[in-house]
Amino acid sequence: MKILVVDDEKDIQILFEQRFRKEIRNGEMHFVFTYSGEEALEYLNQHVSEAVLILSDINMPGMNGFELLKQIKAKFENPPPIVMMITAYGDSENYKLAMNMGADDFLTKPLDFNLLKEKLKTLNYDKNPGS
Amino acid sequence: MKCIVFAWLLLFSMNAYSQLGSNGLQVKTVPDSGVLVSQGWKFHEGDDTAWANPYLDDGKWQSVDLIHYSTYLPLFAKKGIGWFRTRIILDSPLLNAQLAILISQAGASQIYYNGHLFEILGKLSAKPGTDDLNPHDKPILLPANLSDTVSLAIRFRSRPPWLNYYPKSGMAPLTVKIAPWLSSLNHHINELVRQRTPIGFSFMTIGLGLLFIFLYSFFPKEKINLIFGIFCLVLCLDSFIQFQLAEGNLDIHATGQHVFFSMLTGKSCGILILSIILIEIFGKIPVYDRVFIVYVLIFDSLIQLFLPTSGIAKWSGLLTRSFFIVEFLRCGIYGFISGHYILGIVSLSSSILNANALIPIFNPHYQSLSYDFFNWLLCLIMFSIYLANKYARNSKHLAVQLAEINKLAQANQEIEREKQQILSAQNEELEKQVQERTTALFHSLQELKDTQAQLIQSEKMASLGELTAGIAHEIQNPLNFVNNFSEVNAELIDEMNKDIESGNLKDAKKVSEDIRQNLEKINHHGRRADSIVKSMLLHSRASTGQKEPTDLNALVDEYLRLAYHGLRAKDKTFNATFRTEFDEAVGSISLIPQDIGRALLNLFNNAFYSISEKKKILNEHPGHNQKGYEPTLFVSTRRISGNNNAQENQAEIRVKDNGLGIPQKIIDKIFQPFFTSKPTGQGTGLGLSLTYDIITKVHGGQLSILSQEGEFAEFIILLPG
Repeated sequence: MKILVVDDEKDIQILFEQRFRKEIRNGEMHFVFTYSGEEALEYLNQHVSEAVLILSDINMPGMNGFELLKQIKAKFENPPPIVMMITAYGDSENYKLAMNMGADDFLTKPLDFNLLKEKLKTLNYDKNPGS
Repeated sequence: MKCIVFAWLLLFSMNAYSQLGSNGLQVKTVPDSGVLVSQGWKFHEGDDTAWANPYLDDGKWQSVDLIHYSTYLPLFAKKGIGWFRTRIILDSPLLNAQLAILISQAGASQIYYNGHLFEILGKLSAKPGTDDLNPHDKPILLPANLSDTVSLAIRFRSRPPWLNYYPKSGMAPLTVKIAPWLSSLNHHINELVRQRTPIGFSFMTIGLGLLFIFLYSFFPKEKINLIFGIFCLVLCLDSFIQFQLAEGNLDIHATGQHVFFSMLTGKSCGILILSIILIEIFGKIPVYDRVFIVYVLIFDSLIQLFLPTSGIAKWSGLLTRSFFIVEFLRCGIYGFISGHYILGIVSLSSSILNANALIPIFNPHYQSLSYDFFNWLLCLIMFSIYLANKYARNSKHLAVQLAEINKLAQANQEIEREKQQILSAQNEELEKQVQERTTALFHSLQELKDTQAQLIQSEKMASLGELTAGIAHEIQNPLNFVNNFSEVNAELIDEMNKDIESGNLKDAKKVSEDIRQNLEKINHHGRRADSIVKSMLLHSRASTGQKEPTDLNALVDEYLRLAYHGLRAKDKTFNATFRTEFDEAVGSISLIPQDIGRALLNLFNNAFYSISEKKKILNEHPGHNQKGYEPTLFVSTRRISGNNNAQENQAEIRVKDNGLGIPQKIIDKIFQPFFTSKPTGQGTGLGLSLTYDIITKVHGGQLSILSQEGEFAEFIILLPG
């Protein structure tokens, strides 16, 4: 499963690589990191339908998470990638907005990786029921 | 006064002491005043001593009356000399009387008595005009008579025609009188004494005249003084000429001009008196009087000078006299009516004297009174009394006025003192009020200052509110790392232990390196959170006012992020690109970090607000080219080095947004307190004002704006150091 992580915090890469080191080692998950919305869109355009899951921060300079979500939902319909928003703003307003814009899930920082792992596993299971 | 009138009336009556008979002039009695021998003369022009013979037949000679000089005077024109002959028949009572002959003449003569040369008066043959002699009725004793008939022959040389001037009508070039010797001698001596009085009179008048002109120079308003002074001086001149005319010794030189000037001064005196009276009684000199004064002084004088014997001269003289009579009479009557008795008396006496002088024009035989001198004296005295009286009244009046003025001045002083008291009372009151107002104002000012301080604090709290969300985000992010890295580390330690236990030391070592790296991350993000909390505290705290060396680039970056996240927290849809360009040369600058941070925060907030508003507007109007719009905030720092002078070193911070820009018309107002372009409730209007104060007043820097409405706004901060 290929997962695109979008966040302006560069340390997020190390964190994800350490947190999912087993999954990465096993080859269960493959992570790609971009540090802005624009970078993410560029990657998606170049690697069409490679990434099945996108984890995006909301607060980013330049294109923010919502903008990115809107574009992804508009441009990549077949198959529509799963987009999860990860943000420090855990308020209901942000949540509602994200869900209305078509986000598949909404996680808050500090990120609970156990929760995330479970969600990903469920997702993986849903996607590949056989494995 | 009565005396003058009486004398004047007396002289009107005709006297008959003599009558003209066929053989000569019959003289019956000779009164003390004498008998005028005017009629019964025979005249022949030319010269022959044989004509002295009493028995000469003069039947063919011209009969003349000496008074009517116009009948014989022209005959002198050719030869300048002629003979008069007459015969006087004395009544018997006069045969033994001592008689004298009295002669007045303008010329020179030789008197023949019964054919014998009896008296020489002047030189006949010498230069005419200079060797004349006028005896002025000086009595010449006639020899005792044996017969009742006296033959008189007068060899007479007239004054030359150009000198012929006879001021008073009826004064012939030659008059002959017969009078009793003693009484005429007496009378003549009296006359001589009278003639000398004008000398004293002259001194008196000249003194008076100068005195009054002197008075006039002190009070130019009192024209009367000047006129009276002039009158006195003219009178002096007149009496001097009169004296010269009357003085026997000077008589040779008393020419027609003397007589003319005498007449001129006389007329001037009359005019001056009239002027004084007119001014005093009527307050002015009427126009017709002025016209007549000019006529009298100029035209009449010219006529009298050049045409003395003509009819015009006679009528002009008559006119002049009549004018004086009428005007003086009028003034006299008005004077008495209006209570100016003194002036009235002077007027009437002048009028009467002029009337008296008029008589000889009609009756040549009438000997007019020569009372001019007495009239002038009367005028002088009366006027002096009048003026003295006037001044006395004036000074009395002045004294009364002075007393009144004193009274008024005292009252005035009283009022002034009261005013002063009121004023000082008012002053005190005012001072008190000012004191009260000042205190009130001071309190108001204090309150205002307090309010301002409170406002500033609330502005700070408002911006703190804006910050909170941003700060939360900023803290959550490092916390995310701290929590997760520490959790990961726990897992990694477990893993490492397993590796150690299984003897896989190589892997364990690798894991331990990861743990170390993670710990560094934990530490880093922990510090990050710490600094955010510290800066928040710093911001909310009142400024320490202490400048400290601060990394400007870091400060700018920190607050830019705070601002961005703050706005993001408020407006979920907000998004903006911000670019930074930090010049490392800026380095550390001495400043008050909280204050500069606050100032920057305001600028960033405004910039973000502006670009988000612009984006909103563009979204609401899809017709616009919104795709091309990218909300951008560009923040840069730069070191500006002075020329070899550390004092001129400056750090520049530029905050440029491509938002709505600032309209030109409000660009001057945006630094004013409480000015805001935001909707009500969204801005305090203090942000930019505080920013401006912090940069310019607190840090001695500069804050300027470049903007184009609808395009961009750029704030440029210059900080010294």
